[in-house]
Amino acid sequence: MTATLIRLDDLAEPVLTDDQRRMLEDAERSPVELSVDAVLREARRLARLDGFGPDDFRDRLAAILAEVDEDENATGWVRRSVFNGAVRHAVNRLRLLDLLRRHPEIREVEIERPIVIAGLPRSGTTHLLNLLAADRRLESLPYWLAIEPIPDRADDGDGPRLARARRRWEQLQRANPTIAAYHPMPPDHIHEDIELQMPDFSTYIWEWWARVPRWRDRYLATDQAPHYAFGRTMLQAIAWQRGARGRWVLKAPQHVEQLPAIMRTYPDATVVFTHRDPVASLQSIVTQHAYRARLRDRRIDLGWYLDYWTDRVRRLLDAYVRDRDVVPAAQRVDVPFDAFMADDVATAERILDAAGLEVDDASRAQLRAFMDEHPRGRHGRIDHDLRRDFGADPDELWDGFASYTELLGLAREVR
Amino acid sequence: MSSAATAVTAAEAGRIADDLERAAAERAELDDFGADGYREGLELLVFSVANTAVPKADVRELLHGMFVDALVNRLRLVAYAAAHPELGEAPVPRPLMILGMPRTGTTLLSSLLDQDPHRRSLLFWEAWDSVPPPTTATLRSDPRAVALRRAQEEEIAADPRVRPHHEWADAPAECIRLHQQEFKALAWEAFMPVPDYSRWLMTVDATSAYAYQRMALQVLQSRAPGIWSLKMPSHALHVESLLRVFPDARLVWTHRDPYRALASLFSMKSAKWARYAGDPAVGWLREHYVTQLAEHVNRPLRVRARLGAQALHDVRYAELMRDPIGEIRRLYAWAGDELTPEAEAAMTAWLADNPQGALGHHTYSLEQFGLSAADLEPAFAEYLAAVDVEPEGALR
Repeated sequence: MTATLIRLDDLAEPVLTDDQRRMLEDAERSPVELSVDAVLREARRLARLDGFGPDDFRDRLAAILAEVDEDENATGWVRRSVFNGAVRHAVNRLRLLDLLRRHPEIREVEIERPIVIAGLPRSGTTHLLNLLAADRRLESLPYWLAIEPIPDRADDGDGPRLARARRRWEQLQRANPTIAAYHPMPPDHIHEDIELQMPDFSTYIWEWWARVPRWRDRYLATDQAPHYAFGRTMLQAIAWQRGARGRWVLKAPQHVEQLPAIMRTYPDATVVFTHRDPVASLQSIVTQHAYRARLRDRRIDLGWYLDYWTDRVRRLLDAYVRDRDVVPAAQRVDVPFDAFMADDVATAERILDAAGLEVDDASRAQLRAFMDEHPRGRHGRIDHDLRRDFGADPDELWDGFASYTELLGLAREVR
Repeated sequence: MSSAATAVTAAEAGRIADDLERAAAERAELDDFGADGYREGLELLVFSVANTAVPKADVRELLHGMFVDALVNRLRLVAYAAAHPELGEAPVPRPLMILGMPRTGTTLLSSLLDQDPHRRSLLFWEAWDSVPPPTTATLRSDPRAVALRRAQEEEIAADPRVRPHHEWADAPAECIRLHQQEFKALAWEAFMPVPDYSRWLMTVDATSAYAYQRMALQVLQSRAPGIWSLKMPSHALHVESLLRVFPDARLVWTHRDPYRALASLFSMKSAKWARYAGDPAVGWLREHYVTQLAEHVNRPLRVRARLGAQALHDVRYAELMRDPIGEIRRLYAWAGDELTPEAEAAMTAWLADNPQGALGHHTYSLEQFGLSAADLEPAFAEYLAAVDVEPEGALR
């Protein structure tokens, strides 16, 4: 299969697909009420459960909803997607608390020595995660399970959740035909574990959905360890239900700026850092957000996205530089992007070895089989050009990340 | 199953069966029931229904009414076939037959196949009301189909719990609707436990049920022809009889974590029994249905051992849920059928309109039914060693 190059030349003045036009129109026709009560009412109705547990989440949910509600530039579509997302997470929260009430022993499930991957988007984290997950000794979190960790009471096994995840992936692709090339999410794709914290209504994922700088400030100013602990409880519930006894491999770019929270939640974790020219990550992130702006924003301001995410990537990396020593050297693996690209399987073997998992023939065969079945770039590649699309100067951007790039001795990729 | 002292002797059951036949003959104004292979099952079923203690006794009347309905359609089909002897000469070539444990995706698969205009599905309404047989043009617009569909919609509006397992009048039905007319059908266990009948079904020779099905298909295809796509999970139990009557059948075998299929079966049966007979009968479920489900996999395994791996095409439930169109493509390639772009588009559209897999009521774990892994491993060891299915955490 040849990788096609996807050129996005309509970022400033989008040419909508028929699906996109219909979705935008539908959302304007049936507006949603962005209030905590409306979200929780809908969640109770769908889950047929009542019992959200500790109340502190309401304030966070209220803050997220209010910020989107007050954004006059937000389309009906983004309001609806935030509402639907919040309802889904509230349903997952209800299901978790219901299960914990009936099976308090879930809290005793051991989550030992996980492998936690931390790295910027586009630095190879997704590929590395899916590759490591091919080693059948490791437990991992497929998309369908991440977005609905606990089944509905009427679900007959995994089937309904698999089918819902497939339909959701189809809908995501209809809304955003570039998503498969940016971050594929078919049901089996191994997903970011911070999804499990969403029912506690925290994480930086909200920044990926909507323009919420106030939420960013609040999230960054707050200790995230309680939400990591919530995510761990969700993971315990999954392990308990599925009888999963192996070690877990987890991943999220957010982990880059949450190392203290990770080490408090999983003190025996092996933390894997992927490193790459941050401008390469930035150009991909900014282009993706700029594309999504056609659904989110009534008036598109590409400069806003460039500034926001340049600052955001800097904050992620600054936190990494500040905190990386909280991970003991013996529990740390650094993966330069070029080395990973040069030999994926060798990199995976090095990580397994560092995590104390012997790489035997079976494991090696599983890794190689994954590589054979998942050639890189099969969904196409997006053509990025910060200069052309955003009028940005890569030299300047590179200089802004100096404290990180110099510490790691990284080479420039984007010029 | 706790059973009261025998209320009805075998001889009395025979006389009740005579009464039911008389009622059917009066309604149909016909009296030839055809080959008498059905009679043993009918008598045993009447006996078992009468002698199994249930809190809600009116379930017996419901069942007797259904026995008469089944006999009426039988009378009409037999008469029609007798009046059209040439139909008995018509081949029923290469039917695609889906089998496997219940709750493993057979319904989804048959619904998808039904979207292909080049295939012929057995529709629910025509299986129960077969004469006169439909034409291609009226397969879904026949007044009988329309009336039954409307009645079903009214029934669901009155009680939404009916919905999840509904076979819509104009949608594919299980072959079991025809086998019920031969009284060799697991479907007769649906409303109340019938242990004597259930035990008998596990060892019965089902050849006469397939012969009856073949006769019915010959009538139904006479004016609405096509290569049949058929399904019935319990073809798995009777697969040897199936192959005697349909030697060139193309067998499609659906797979799933058997523990999840079992938990699902127990959830479904106990809920339905509780509703109609007032007793979830969990003890009888444990006693009989673990073995029954294990036979659903062990018998096809024996056929495969005898005929080779290619004799049955495997479809895994998780794969079907993840990528239904991909599974359909593989199935068509194996079957040697052409998947047209129109058929694929119709299947994709159907998937978008029809959510899959929810049972519509609480599902319970095997632990909640008092079963542990240790209880089940011996029954399913051979299957789990032979077929790679994804575990679905059914024990809790």
